[in-house]
Amino acid sequence: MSRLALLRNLVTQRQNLLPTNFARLKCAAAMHWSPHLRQEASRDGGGSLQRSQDNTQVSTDVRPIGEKIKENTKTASYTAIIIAGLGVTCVMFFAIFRELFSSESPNNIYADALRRVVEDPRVQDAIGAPIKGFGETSRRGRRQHVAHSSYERNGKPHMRMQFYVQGLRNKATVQLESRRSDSGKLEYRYLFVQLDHYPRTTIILEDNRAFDPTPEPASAGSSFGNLALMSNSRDK
Amino acid sequence: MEEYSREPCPHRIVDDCGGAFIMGCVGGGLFQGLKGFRNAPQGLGRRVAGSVAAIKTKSPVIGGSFAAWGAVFSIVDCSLVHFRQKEDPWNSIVSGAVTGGILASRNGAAAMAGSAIIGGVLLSMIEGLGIFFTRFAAEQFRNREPHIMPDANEGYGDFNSSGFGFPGAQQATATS
Repeated sequence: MSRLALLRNLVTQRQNLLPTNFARLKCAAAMHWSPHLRQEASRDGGGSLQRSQDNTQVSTDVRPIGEKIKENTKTASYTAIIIAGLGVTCVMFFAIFRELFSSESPNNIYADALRRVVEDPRVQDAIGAPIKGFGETSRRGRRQHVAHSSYERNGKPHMRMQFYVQGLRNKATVQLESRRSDSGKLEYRYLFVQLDHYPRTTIILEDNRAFDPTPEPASAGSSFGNLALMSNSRDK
Repeated sequence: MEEYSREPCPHRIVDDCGGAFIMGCVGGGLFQGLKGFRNAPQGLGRRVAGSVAAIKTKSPVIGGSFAAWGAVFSIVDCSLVHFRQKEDPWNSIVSGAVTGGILASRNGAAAMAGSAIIGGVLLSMIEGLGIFFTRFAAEQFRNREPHIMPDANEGYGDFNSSGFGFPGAQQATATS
């Protein structure tokens, strides 16, 4: 019984002690907290300085990811359009430069043949001295395009061509076929000037068909209509 | 019927001038119509009225500019054909450059040179485009191997009856 009484007293004393200790803990926390807060404030100051320094290094791009994707897609589309335009321009310039400056282009073959036709005395006698050369007449009256067709025979590129010359008295059609010789130069297989009006004669400027190499028997069997030769084709 | 075909060059100047005027009026009318439509105040009626007003104001001026360009271009082109006695793409390119220079002659020599270069480059692109499309269209009708004439090597007497590749007696109308 006395032990039970002692236990009861101890329990009561502890219950009395707890509020007092709690109040003491609160005061201690308050006393400790204010210098802690001050230290935190000073640390925040230093932290803000460090953060401002970090901002110069870290990317300042704060836009959402959708905006980035949209802008990159737009940039890629514009770049593709620009590249397409440049490609078309390069194709056009390539076509005109190949036509004007390649030695095998139809325009240069036409220029050489026209020079030879104009300087020949028989042609000058037949159709009159100031001789003008031109190609096919288009719908708008421009005659710059010369009818030509290129093909390959016996492994060598050939080109057939037809253009017109006009003098004071007559008009003529020039038929020519050029090929690459063994030494690599372009030569005429034939070059004829056929007068269009009276007298309908043909002036032979060059005829090398006798020196054709013998064709292979396999290719001798194939034949096409004559009218099909009038089409123009791409140079090989 | 080729006795009635006339030399294209003097008449082509007038044809090209008129064609360029129509091109400038129609094309300029389209562009100025769109611009007037966008610049007009709100309302469909007011936008259409603004479009019509812009077309009436600007279209003849643009047509006149195009006509001047076309006329000078054709004059220079026909002059080159006359002096060179030859028609080839060089005539177009040189005519474009000369036309650009002539039409900018009021602005000084530097502007003339710049416009001449622009005109030459523009006509080079136009000629290149025409040549490219001609080759592309002709590729569809390309022959693999032309007709081989075994008897063409002997006998030069009459080429019209020997099955020659091109009919020489008639003016051929090649697909260009």
